Amino acid sequence: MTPHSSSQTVMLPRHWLARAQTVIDATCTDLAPADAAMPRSAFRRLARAVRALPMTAVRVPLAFPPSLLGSLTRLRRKTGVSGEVWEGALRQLFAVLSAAGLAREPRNVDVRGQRRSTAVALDPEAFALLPQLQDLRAQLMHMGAPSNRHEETAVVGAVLGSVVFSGITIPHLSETLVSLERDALEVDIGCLTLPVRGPASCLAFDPPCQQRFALHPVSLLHWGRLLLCRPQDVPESSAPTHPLLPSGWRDPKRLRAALRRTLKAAGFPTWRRFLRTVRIEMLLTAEAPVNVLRRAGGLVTAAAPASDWHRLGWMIADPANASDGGRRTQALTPLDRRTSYDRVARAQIGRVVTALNSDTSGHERSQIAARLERLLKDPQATGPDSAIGRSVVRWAIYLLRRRRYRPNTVRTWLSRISRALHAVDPISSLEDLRDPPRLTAFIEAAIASSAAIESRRAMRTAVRQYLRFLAAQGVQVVAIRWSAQRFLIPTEGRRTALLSPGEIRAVVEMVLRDRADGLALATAILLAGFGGLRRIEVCRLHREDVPRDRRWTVCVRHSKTAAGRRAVALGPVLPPWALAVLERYAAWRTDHCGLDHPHWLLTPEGVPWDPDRLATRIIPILRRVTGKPATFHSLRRAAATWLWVQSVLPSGLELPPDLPNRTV
Amino acid sequence: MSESRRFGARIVPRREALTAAIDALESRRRAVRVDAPLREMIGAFNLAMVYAWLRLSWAAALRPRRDPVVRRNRYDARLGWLFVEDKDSPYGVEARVIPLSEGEGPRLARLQDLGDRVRYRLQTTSHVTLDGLSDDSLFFVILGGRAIPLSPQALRSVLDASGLADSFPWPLNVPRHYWITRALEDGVRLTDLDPFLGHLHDPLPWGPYAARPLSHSASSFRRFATTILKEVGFL
Repeated sequence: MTPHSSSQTVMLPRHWLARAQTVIDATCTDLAPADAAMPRSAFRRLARAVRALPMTAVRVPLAFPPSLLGSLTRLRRKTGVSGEVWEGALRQLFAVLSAAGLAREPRNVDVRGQRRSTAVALDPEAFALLPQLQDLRAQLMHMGAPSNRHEETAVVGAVLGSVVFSGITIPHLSETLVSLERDALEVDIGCLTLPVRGPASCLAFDPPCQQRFALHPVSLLHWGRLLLCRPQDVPESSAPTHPLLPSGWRDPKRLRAALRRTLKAAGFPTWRRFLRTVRIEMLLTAEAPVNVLRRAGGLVTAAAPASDWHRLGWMIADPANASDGGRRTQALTPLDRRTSYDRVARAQIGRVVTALNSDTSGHERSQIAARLERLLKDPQATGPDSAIGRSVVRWAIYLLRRRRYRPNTVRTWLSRISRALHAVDPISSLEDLRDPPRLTAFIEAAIASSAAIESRRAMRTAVRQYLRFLAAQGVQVVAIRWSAQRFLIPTEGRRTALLSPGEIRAVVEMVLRDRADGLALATAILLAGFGGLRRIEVCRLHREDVPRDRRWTVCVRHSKTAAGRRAVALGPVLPPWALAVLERYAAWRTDHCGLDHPHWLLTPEGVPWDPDRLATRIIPILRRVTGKPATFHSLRRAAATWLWVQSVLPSGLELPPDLPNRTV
Repeated sequence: MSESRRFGARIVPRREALTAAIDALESRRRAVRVDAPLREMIGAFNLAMVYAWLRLSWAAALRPRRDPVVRRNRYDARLGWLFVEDKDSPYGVEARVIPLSEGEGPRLARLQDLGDRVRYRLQTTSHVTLDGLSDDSLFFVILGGRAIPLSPQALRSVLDASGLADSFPWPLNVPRHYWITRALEDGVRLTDLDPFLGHLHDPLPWGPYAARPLSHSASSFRRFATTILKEVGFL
């Protein structure tokens, strides 16, 4: 110690700290341990600040310049106590040091919180570590092939990958992971379910508060590698638990130590600083602050995985081309290729398509669905082993169990998606669905695989419905703009299919020649061709829907859409000859089938018409008579077109023949 | 508003005057050769630092500040972001991040590299003292045989010594006024620019519940920064 003046001395910072430590220790011995914790904590932080002072000697008593005091008062957030408690601890510390003659008690110890709360602590030291984070990411990207079965590498890679790539930065991640069961990791959809609050949570104690986090593909690969590393570690089935981490890694201290070693080597001084750096990088790239906060465990939301998945999905940056600022998808590995749409799934879908026909009852559909479900659930069964294959089978089950999807529809969609996944440039895994260029290329190739316009449209619809189903199931699928030019189907072929009233009449006359079911078919054609009814609406008309009133009103109660439920007055739009046909059928229906069956349109056998069968009977006749590529739906379009023409036709122009007079 | 509540100078230089000043600075600038004679190297280095600082202040609309606000490791050249704490006080800190327009990040990295080489040269082969320079100083100049952080006063001294003081008669916070003026003229959304200029008010774009990624407003900030740099003659 060097005498400087009568009241001030100069000493080295470490000497000052030693003396101050003695004073604090003496003070704290008289306090209860809980009461002593806060002054000790305050002193530790003061000591750190004094050591960081840019001077080789301090004057005693030490005056606290704003820079020193500011760094202490700003630390409140890190201490985890309220501002009031922290301020009290600082005041106590300064009072003790002042009484010992080591420091001057500052006049104003005003601990003010951060002015505004932020999703991410904007810590300059953490910001400075962004290049190190980039190096660590590159290191994790190339952290050995799956053949590298060194356990520590795999465990550390999985944990750090979850932080670096997936952005899961909850503070006690290592403690959480060691107590996690294996079923918390859903590899097929890339999801990790974590308890985000400790057991002392005041929000939710029982059941524990859990959140699902989507995993980045690279992070998922690391988890997969860890699982591959430990087949010999699989516990016997009688074991009560199946931990996610290998048995030797259930000690949080060991995991923390391994993580610390890796992070130190990568340049990160502490785990907390590392997490902050990751959060800052997420904030500066593409993540919304609220999502960063959620992934840091600071915001508890519903457990739906879809809520965690943003529109564009994860992209894998190619480190080799990182300098050009572009982001591209990593090339698929052979492992990915093996997980494409597999033979088993294709065979199952083939069976469903073969088994379904217009006569398949609801019970039979349920049975088929149950068989597929058993295949998925039973581990012994030789079910599809890829995520894509399983997803298609799940879709098939979904379609089969919903009666509103007719057998024809189910057959069409399933056969189309099966063909697309098998024959067209296939999507290899569910991860491909998160990659806009990849998915777009797949859809384009699927549509282009069909030559006919209708087939292309069917393929487009099938792919769209399949992707919609996957998204509803929580699988991350990029948003596709279906109205984009590349996905549009040309409509030129449709223009020629407009049927004139005369052609409709010719078709009706043709079908009437068939004595068996001609009258019912003619009635269906008239209902569609002049009333604009869909085939499903025609087939689901009930007796009470056709009261045969003066205006021949038909009530459509069962329609494809809610807006389709309507009353159609056929009288004003039907020409007399068509009205006569309807009257004939109505009389036949009353005489022959009576009140036995609720449906109005019946086959000669007395059963309701199936929409697909009805279309199958009528379409060939329509095409033969008119020479146009017409479908049953062309009748509905014709009805709409001619009604519109009647309403806008300028005076002086003639309507096509066989249309009723508007004044009727 | 009373006079005491006014902050900064309300001066927006004319574009012609700006481009002329930048042109004059450009014409004086020389490549910094670390192995050149000391006097020559210091002259070139000081001008290079002043140029780099002015360019950055126009690219990011920085506040001129007594203490160096941009330090080593407070920028990320890869992501193109700058970390700034220009409203620090003993009792709180208001940190913010600023997007850097394309090319500015690597330029800062090159400047840091140059500064390191110059420091080494000064330490090893000169009597220039470096005690006033902290290790994290990115912008510094050598004046009167001392290396000091580049404060507004030091910047003025360098301009004076180079005979360029008359070309830069306006205060050093004019980039901020120019930015706002041009944003209003061009119809650029001020809500996108404001947080990055340090006009922080809730809700912050990096507030806890902000649902819009920073990248959206950052891209418009970068676009506008590039426009400004072109206008004033840096690009």
